[in-house]
Amino acid sequence: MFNLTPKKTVHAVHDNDLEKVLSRLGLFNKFKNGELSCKFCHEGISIKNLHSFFPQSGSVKFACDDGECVRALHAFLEDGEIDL
Amino acid sequence: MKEFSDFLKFLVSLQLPGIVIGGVVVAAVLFYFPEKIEKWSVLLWRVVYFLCKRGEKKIITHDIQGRVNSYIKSLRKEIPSMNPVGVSIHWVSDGEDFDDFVKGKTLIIRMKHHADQNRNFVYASMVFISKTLLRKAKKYLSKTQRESFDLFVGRKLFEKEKPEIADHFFEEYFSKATSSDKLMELCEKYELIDKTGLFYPVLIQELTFFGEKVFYQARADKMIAEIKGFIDFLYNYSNRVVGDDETPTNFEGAYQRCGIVIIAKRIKRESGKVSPYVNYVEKLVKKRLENIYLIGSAVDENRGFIDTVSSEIQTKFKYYQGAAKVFKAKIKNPIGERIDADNYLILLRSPTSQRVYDAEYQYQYIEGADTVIDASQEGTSPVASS
Repeated sequence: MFNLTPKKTVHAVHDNDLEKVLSRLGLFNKFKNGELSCKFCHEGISIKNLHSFFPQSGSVKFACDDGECVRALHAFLEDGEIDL
Repeated sequence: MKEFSDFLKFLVSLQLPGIVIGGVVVAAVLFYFPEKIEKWSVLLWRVVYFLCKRGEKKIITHDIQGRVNSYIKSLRKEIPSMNPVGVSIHWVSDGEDFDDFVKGKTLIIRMKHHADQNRNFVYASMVFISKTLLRKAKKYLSKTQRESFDLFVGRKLFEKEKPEIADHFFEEYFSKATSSDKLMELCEKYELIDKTGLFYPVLIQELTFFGEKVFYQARADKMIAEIKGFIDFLYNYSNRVVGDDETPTNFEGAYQRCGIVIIAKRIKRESGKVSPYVNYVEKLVKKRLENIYLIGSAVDENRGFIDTVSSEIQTKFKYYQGAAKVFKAKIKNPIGERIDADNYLILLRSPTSQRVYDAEYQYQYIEGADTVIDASQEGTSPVASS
């Protein structure tokens, strides 16, 4: 399809690929065992509440789907700490 | 749409064979309405998924891209100088280079099965809005101001593109986010400003211009206070009843300087004299107002009169036309009831807008001048009414 409008890319991972992607990052076992926590609220990350993940200082951080954490994530985006 | 119908008329006038016309029309639809094609393709992929369980990601991708890009296209008409970007979904799989990912800054959001597409749509749209809406201006806004714009625009997007989830958005996202009184108060003000049709063409437009300016300082209290003052100015203006000459129509901040000129009282229009308006605008020009919005009823005779006033201002003061549009508004009649009106707006821009705020300018006009940015202190238009 033709579309000349400039685009901003949103990177996404589908649930079907999540295991493979987290395995490549060496984090799937930790994820499965409930050893990962949200960067913002420090609650455990699981398949029930995972919103997104991003790199920071050489490691991968996770954000849960709690409203406050999603807002904090947006502030991170706006401040340029992370990008799309 | 008009461009497309003009193109079709041109095509028919060429008297080409039917198959050629058919091919050109298909290509033109793809060119003019890619977002509509994306929306339709979601239905196709749903059928494919139903029949053979394939196309899961296509459903999610085209649903998000089609709806968000459709809304972005409508924004381009609302705010011609904004140049908003569209969205494109890139699926991350195990074939990516994850060494680069860990060194970079890229956010990856998780998407559920398309049965949960409303959730996917809300989360993808909101990260997109946070990153792209008022991208340049946001670094000068407070956290609450930034968040309020994201939430309000998000809500407008969902109301237009997926009205069935607007309620869900309120419950799951908006109500939690608006637990802050300040945030709630700002969103309520935008609601009223939007009611009078000025949220996008004036508020977001002015913030877009604001973002284009170059400041040699990061977020500053004065800028945040000025934006607050500007929002209050538009809020008060939106509460104005027809015929009220007291409500301020100019905003003369240190960084943002604009005025609204309401045109026209019937008696003035019928006299055919543009000079009262031009003379008033001359005062605004002397006050270094950078953007002047001519607003009035869109009925033919008034619209023609506004065009004449605009031409005269452009000739006399070398202001240039930044936008012209007809928009829906709910204005207050003299007894305070909201009534529907078709309004017409022309934005005139100064050829000498202040763009770079260096230390010298800062001292001369801002620090040294002890600028007053309280909108309630501003003078009112002697020609305001209608």
